[in-house]
Amino acid sequence: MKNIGISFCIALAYLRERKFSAALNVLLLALGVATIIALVLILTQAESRMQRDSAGIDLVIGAKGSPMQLVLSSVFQVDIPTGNISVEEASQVIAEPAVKLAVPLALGESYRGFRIVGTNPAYIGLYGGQLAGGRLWDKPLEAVLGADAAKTTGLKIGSTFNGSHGLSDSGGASHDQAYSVVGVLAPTGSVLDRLIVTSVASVWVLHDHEQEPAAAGASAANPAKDDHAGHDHSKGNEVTAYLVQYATPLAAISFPRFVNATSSMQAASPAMESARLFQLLGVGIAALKGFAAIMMLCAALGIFIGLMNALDERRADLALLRVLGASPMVVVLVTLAQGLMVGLMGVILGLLLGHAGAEWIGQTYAESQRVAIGGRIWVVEEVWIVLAALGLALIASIVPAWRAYRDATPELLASR
Amino acid sequence: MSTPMLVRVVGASCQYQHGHPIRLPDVAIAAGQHTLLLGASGTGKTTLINAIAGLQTLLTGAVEIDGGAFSTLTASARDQFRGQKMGLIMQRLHLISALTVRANLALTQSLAGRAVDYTMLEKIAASLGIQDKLDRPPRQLSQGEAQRAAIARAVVNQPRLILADEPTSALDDHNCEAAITLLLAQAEQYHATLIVATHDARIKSHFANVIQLVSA
Repeated sequence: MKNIGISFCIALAYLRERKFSAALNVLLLALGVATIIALVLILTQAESRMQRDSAGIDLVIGAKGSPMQLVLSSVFQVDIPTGNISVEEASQVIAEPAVKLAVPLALGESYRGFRIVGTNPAYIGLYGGQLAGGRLWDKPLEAVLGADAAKTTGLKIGSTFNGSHGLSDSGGASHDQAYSVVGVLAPTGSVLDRLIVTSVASVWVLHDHEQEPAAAGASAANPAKDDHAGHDHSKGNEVTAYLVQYATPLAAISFPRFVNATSSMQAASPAMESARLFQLLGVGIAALKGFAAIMMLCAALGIFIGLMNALDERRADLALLRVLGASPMVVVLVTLAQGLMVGLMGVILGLLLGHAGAEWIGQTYAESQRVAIGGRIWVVEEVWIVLAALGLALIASIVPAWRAYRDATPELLASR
Repeated sequence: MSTPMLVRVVGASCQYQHGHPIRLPDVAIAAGQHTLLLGASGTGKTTLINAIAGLQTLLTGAVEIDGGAFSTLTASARDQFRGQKMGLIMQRLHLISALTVRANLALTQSLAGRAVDYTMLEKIAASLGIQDKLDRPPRQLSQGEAQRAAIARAVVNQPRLILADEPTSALDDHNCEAAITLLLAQAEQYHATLIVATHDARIKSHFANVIQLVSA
């Protein structure tokens, strides 16, 4: 143990003596580690978020167009919808026995970048949402805020706000009619936190649909009525999409085909579209990971070259350690310790930079309220990245250490 | 009762890489018998010192230290023995460049398996006039200061045997006198035996036992 302490002290002194090249190797390794760590953190959180946001949703029915766009806009609330669908036509489809639950979504409004979603209380139930205060809507133009939306906008129960046309952060023209906040939801860790939820009727009212308030104003107390609003009382009205839960797993085989074949709408599976999205992103992600791996390899090469050069300069020093009574193992440890210390410093710096980078990206995108990513979490994969980086540093040090063991003998000083 | 021999070199020969075999003189030095190996360049002073220190592999013969066959020990055992029982001042000083003088001295104690005694380090440094150089790296020392630092390192473990190869050749008369006086004083204080190889005749008068080496 004492030998290890001595070896690390000497190794540290050697690194301090050539701090510029050591710092470069540390930086190179840190950048490689940071890039991979940031990618892993972002992907893990994005995947986890997508899984949470699409949990319990088997299918999305919406206007024809890109199925991925439909899923992104309706499930993850990150893209523009493909268009609207007729409630009347949709009602016929969702009346099929294959459908256990169909939750309407009417999009098109936002407030300070937070989307206003016209729906029914079953939507809140999909994400296990609970009221933190107030109540659900009872009539049009009453709204319930997701936890993040409430926190960021500062709106409270009893506050009023005017929604804007469009879904972008900058917003479009404001409506004259104001929403009243009647409830705030507790955090769910899902997309619901970043939404303002209201009845479908609210959206219709704002868009001057000819609609009987009684029919359009589906009450929170009676969601079945809201479900029926479309086909019983809402002839001619439109919604953006329906989120569907199957009655039976077998429905996954036939129901999407049925929708696509028999209606002007399209059916898109969130699971399939998410997988497709990651497949599309996969090439870029793999390229970034490859680039980071090359940086780590370059750092390992830098460690190797640095140690070999240092060995040429310090062979006499290392031999002197033997003359003073050090075992050959100390000479080996001094060399290995230099590589490991560079590796350790690179890994620590890389972890800090990786997490800071993920946090920065999260903060940057948080402004648009679309992606909830941060750097304050730890994932298991990081252990493997750390071990890989330290392993590379160790491997890079083995040959120099072996040469030190072989060449730095007391006899070396006798010949000088 | 005769004084026991601390160092004995018998029938030893060695060979440098690409060189001819060198026959070393038989030497027997009693414990406490400070000895000067005096000779001109090329007479084998350094080779003999290296052989006694176990830095030179022998082709034939043996080196015995304190009655034990030192030259037949394994390399690791030789290193350990040397670290604990010998103090070396080499012709080229070979202080560890990345460490301060203080750390060089502390390392010497640690590698010998001793607890680091900083008070003692400072006392030795003060007696050699380098107490204000303790926190400097070797590259910031003059040749004479570095040589005194090497002497400090040689005595810091209070070894039984101190081997010095040209310890005073780079010093002026005043420091030469101080260094050899310190070496002898340390040897006396800790009952060590001092063997000095040199061509520096200035220190001849300090030694009762002088072995004159001549070119083979």
